[in-house]
Amino acid sequence: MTRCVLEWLEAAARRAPDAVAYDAPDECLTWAGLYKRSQEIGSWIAARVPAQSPVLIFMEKRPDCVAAMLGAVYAGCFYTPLDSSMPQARMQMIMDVLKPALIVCEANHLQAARELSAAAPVCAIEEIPSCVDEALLRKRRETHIDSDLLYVLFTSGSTGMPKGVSIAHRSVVDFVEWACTELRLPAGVRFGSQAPFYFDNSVLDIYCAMRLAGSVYIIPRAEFLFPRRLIATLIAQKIDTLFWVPSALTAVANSGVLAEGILPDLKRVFFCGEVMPCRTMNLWKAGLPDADYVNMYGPTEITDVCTWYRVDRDFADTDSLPIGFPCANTRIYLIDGEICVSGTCLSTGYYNAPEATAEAFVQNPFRPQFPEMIYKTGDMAEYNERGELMFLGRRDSQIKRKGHRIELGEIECAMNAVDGVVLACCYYDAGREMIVGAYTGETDIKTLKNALRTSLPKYMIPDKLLCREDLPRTGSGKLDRLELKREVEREHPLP
Amino acid sequence: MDDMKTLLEVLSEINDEIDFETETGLIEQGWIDSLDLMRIIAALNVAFDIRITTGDIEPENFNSAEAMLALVRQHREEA
Repeated sequence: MTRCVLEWLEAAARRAPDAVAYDAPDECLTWAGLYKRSQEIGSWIAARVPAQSPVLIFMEKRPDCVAAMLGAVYAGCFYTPLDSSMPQARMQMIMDVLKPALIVCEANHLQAARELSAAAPVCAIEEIPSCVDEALLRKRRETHIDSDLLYVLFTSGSTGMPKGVSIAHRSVVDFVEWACTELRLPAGVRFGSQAPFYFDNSVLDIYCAMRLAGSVYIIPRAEFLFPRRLIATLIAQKIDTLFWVPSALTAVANSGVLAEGILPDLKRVFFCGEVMPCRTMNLWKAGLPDADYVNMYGPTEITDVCTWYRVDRDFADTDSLPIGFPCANTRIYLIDGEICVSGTCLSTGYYNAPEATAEAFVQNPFRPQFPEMIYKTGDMAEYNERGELMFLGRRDSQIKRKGHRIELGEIECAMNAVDGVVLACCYYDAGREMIVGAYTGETDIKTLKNALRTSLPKYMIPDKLLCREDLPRTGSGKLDRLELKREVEREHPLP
Repeated sequence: MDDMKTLLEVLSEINDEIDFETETGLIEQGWIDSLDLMRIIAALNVAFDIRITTGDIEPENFNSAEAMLALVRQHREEA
């Protein structure tokens, strides 16, 4: 039984040493190359920090970044990938939670990395020497168990503090074995990777390719803005499998570039991360009628995916696509309509946040006789007449925008923290894909917007800010987002 | 009002932190992200009464204000 994801890397390096593992336009690592570099980085890290330490990987999405992540794993540690696009203030909050023992970055980000933490040593990946300490790595591996953490990924938190979802090796092993089998991935599969490494959709690309000695082409982010360019890349790189967030698939579909037969090598189109519009899927099916389409569902807390639906019939543009059935070795309960999950896929909790953990990870009410956790997703669902799960929406104020999971509460906290803001309230206008932020206080809109740029990632900054005399409240005195939406729409009719 | 002036006004509405007037690597240097680009295309279509879609653009069309203006003019002639 696989206890550590590195067993897959070692098998791939034996099986296909010279085959491409991860590549980007001007960079490439083979399986043998990745194996060697990860061991070098692992030796360097292991000589400096104890096993099970958090290692922050502050790098761009490049093949070398995978080597750094796996290097941390060779050292018996776990990784958190972040990139430099995150605003300083949010990065600082993540530092406060994670307290990394070490930061690995690229040489050109050394200064920015040093500013992140006074406590953690920073090293540039280019400076890590080509030496492997086999005895030390062996020792770390011998003491490894499969409940040791592999990674911690951060997600939006309603109290304003990002939450670090901790995932152990065994959860990724469970997920990847399921995915390789049920998604019918062939040996040598070639992924066109869209998801950033700090987003857990990337776990499927990275580790399924490793399990099958396939490869991952890292598509430059800017190409997603230009569908024609993107299609040319998929053709030139002979990509056969996509696992993308639906908004990326929608952007391509809506641009009109999907003529029939345009992507002869593409055999599998998978999606997860937000609701997939049937209209988008139908446009893809028109261009690629024979591809395998699979809709998946799952929050980061259950290791990427917990339910799946292989598209086996036609849907009208206005239909809703099922999220289907639980993955193997995963159990789904609908408790008052809320999706609750149990199984090996469960996160071990939010890192350094016992209270937030206790709220979402609770004792299974159907098994009071012994300790067993379920994760309450906050997502609502029901079964259709075929027994398939249908996603209905959120029970709280979490929203999805271009696949990013956003708590409106986090935006409000950031607004409330700005000098001159008395009180803030936000809502999401799904039809116009706009976040609207209203506030009371003295600050003018421009000052507020500039302040938010330093504290929130761009996709969380409200598209429209409104200064108001007053904010509506519910009977119990809570801020009333729904009423705010009604008032704003009355006062500022938008096109 | 000339077209360049209109264009720069439209662009500064979308993001006033970028120097659209002189920057020539807006896409290559990563100044513009997907949210910006969608807003820019929507705003250009309204401001110049044209119909640009994402299916007929290339990165080169958005690296500078000059390039965007050329794109606008090309679409206006086609209309």
